[in-house]
Amino acid sequence: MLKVERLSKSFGDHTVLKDVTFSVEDGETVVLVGSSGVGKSTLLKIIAGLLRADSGRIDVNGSVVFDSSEDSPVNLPPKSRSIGYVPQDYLLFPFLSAYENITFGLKGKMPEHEMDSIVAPIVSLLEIGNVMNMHPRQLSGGQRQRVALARPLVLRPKLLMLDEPMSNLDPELRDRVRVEMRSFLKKLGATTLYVTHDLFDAFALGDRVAVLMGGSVKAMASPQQLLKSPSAIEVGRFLGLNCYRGKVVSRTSVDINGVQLSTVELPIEAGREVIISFRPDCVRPFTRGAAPLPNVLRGKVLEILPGVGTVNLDVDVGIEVQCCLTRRDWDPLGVTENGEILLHLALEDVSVAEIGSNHFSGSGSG
Amino acid sequence: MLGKDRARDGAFKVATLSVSLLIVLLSVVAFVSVLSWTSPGDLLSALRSQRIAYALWLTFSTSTVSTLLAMAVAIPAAYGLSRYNPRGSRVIEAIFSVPLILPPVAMGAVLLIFFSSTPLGEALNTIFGIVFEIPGLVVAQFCVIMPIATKTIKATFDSVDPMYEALAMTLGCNTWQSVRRVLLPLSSNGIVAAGVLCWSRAVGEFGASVMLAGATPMKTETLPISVFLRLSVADISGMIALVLIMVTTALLVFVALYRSGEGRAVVGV
Repeated sequence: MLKVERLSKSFGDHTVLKDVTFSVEDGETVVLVGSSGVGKSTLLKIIAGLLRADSGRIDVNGSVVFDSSEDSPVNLPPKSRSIGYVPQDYLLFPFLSAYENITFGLKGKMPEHEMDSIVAPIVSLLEIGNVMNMHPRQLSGGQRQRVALARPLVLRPKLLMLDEPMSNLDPELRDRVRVEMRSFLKKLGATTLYVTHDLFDAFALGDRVAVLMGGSVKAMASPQQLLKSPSAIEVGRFLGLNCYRGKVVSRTSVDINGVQLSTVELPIEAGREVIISFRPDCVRPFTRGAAPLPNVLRGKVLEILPGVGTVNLDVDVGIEVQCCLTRRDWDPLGVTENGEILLHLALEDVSVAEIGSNHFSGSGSG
Repeated sequence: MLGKDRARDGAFKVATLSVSLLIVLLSVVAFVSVLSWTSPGDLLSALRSQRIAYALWLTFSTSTVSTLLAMAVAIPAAYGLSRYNPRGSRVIEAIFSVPLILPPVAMGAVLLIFFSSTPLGEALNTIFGIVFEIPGLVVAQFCVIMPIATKTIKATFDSVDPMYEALAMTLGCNTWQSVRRVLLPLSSNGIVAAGVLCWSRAVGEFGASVMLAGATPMKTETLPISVFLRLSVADISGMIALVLIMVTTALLVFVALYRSGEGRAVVGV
């Protein structure tokens, strides 16, 4: 459906995108995730035709909409790309009602009664029939989002692109809108490219997640696969995993800076450099009664970050390890900062991958 | 402590509001003291005179034409400067701003020299009849108000997120349609405000107009020029009648402007 090949864009000396390559399949929702300022919005604007890339090629539904090649350069204007775009803050036109916003793209192209027949099913699906006469400032955050979704959808775009549509919602509303968004995207079955800096949004909404770092797509896989086997250390760390460079010691153990971890049996030769990763919630802290288990590490608590239902720990066991546990598990431990603690890690939770390969070992539980 | 802070806040509020009140009071006193120079009978007969009716018609019609012309030039100019930010845009903006600093009399003198002693100016004068004629009033007013229009509208365009127009383009608009259907409605308050400001300034324009169009009674006699002519022959009642008309017009225009602004704010534009 969408194919982006070797797309690059610089502003003066500053390279924002470098050889970005990825694709979105028909009916799929791909979430492009990356830190703020990494070029996510720039990439969407280029795909929508609002910015021109320096080089590369973009295909939408089999048609070339942009190609920088000298032999046959193509750069279709936004209106000819059949791409629906929902920007940050929705940008509903404040001087138009919800209905006028939704029919903005249809106006002048067909008579009113034809417009109604196109708009009605989408309005009904998004459950916004009761707000059609209201102006944007009279709508709630969720209603605004649905009107903003309906506006490009009535034009039946081949691809729907959403640029951080929940970035400015307060946390409570955001949780509700996220659930609604997931439900609508499933119902619509639209091919969607969704951009966010929020991992929670990415993992809740994406069939596949693409990680944009340093101007290029560093990893792209299903959320489960990505958590199980990040393709690079920086990707793993961005996703909040404990992720290290290490060496295979034997078929069932690896070494990270002198700290040895046992693993399930590895199909990798001893001595090879590997990426080792495990999720913070897979690390089980305890203080006494250590059973003779593999992967029990003794360390010092560097930092305790209490949340509402969970507690995050930063522990030095020779390497720095992040742990995440529920308050119910944490409170009985009675450990303070700089206190001693034991950590246990199950063999199957340790993922090991050869550097430069896509082969990962360890079942992970993601 | 809390009581002291509250008392200080109260004193600050009274002090700042008192300044506004003082200005209003001084204006009213000045205006009433001017009115005391004439009698109601003299004032009424002056208001009914054909000469004042002509000045009123000439002022409002030339101001309306010059405002429309200024807006027609300022909107595209402001769009270009705001959205394309061309190289040298600061220089262009500085050139646009020169008439704001140049005294209107000096501007009128420059225009008079241009239209009476340069080949291009003379040609334009031959076609449109500008020097010491009614079109001269429009040209003078246009030159004075055009920078105001451009600066105000550019500031309005700058305040509108260009993503609105970009979004309209993804919904099927070309550049012109995105301007007409999105930018202009979003900027309507600023454009109306610019129009009213320009029109008001054009109504009160004297220096450039008197230099370029002259001060011929019943020909190029706008309200400000008429005030000047009345004063030159010590016709105080006539002058006060004109001032009364101009003050009333100004009040009506600005009250209407503020009310329309509030109305739009309610709708959310």
